[in-house]
Amino acid sequence: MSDEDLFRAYKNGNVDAFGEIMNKYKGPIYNYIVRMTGRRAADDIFQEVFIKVLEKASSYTSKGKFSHWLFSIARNAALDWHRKNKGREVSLDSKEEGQFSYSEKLADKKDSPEEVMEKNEISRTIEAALGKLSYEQKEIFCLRCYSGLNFREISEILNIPIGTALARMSRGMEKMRKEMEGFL
Amino acid sequence: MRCELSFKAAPYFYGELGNEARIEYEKHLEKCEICRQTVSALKFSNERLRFLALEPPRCIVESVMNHARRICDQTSQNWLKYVFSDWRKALLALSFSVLVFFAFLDFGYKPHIYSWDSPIDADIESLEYAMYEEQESFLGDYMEEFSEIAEEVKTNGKGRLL
Repeated sequence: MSDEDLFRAYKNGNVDAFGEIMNKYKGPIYNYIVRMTGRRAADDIFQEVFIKVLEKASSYTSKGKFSHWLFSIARNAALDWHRKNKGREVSLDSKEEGQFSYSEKLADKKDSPEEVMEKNEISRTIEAALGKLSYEQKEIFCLRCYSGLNFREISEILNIPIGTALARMSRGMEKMRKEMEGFL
Repeated sequence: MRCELSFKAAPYFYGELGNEARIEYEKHLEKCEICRQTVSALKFSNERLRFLALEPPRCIVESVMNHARRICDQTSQNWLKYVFSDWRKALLALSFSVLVFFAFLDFGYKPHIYSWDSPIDADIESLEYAMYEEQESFLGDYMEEFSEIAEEVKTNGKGRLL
């Protein structure tokens, strides 16, 4: 069953169909939001996005791809947060906020200290590389990475020409390449 | 250092280049170290980001699902309300249809041309019946007299005036 069929089934009162959608998209949406806003805000924004999806179900027409609609809601929610919290650093490690550390989460209990070190190093490298990107560059990079939508669809979500989307991605990758040079 | 074709690295990596453009870019990759590194950076970051993927807290997912259940319940209640109200209308329509059906159903009953022939109003002194009786008695008297005069004419050769 396609996403569109599942969502239509939900609109007709089938809550299990929405459960399938949730299982499929909770990871990509959550990780996109975490990358764009940081862990502190991600939980609330994630919930807000799915509540909006449930409440605005009638505004979704099955003409468009469901994932396109879902990610445009997530993108707008993250952008709203970004506008309200300009200047606030996006941190994936929120230990100081009383939550578990992102690095701790990565490290499996069975991992040797060397493996834990390596995972932490990877985490730091990725964070540092993403940290070099502007909000617009990171937005395109994360949308392409998590949504599975192509650049044309992403440019539609962002309401920009596809050339602009590719140029932003290219400039972002340039920065990331420099940051990751040691690992490539 | 930058390469003017590095904007093709991402569409190439995600398989969004057309066949010709892909072959052309692959040829370029053999010569260009920057583009090769860009593609490697894409591969590295995508793999690692999948590896580092986090799961949303279960309580939040559960709260969203509860919200979905509430909306679905409301939808089904509205639907039941609609069906129930419609059901009453449907029952009314059905009763009317049954009445019409029985009214026109042919149980071997032959319609009577005259109301006085009808067993339904046989005991009713209808206006038509009264008129019929009057007409019969009036014409019956005259018919009797006519036949008497006709008989007289036949036997005597002339008849009396009415």
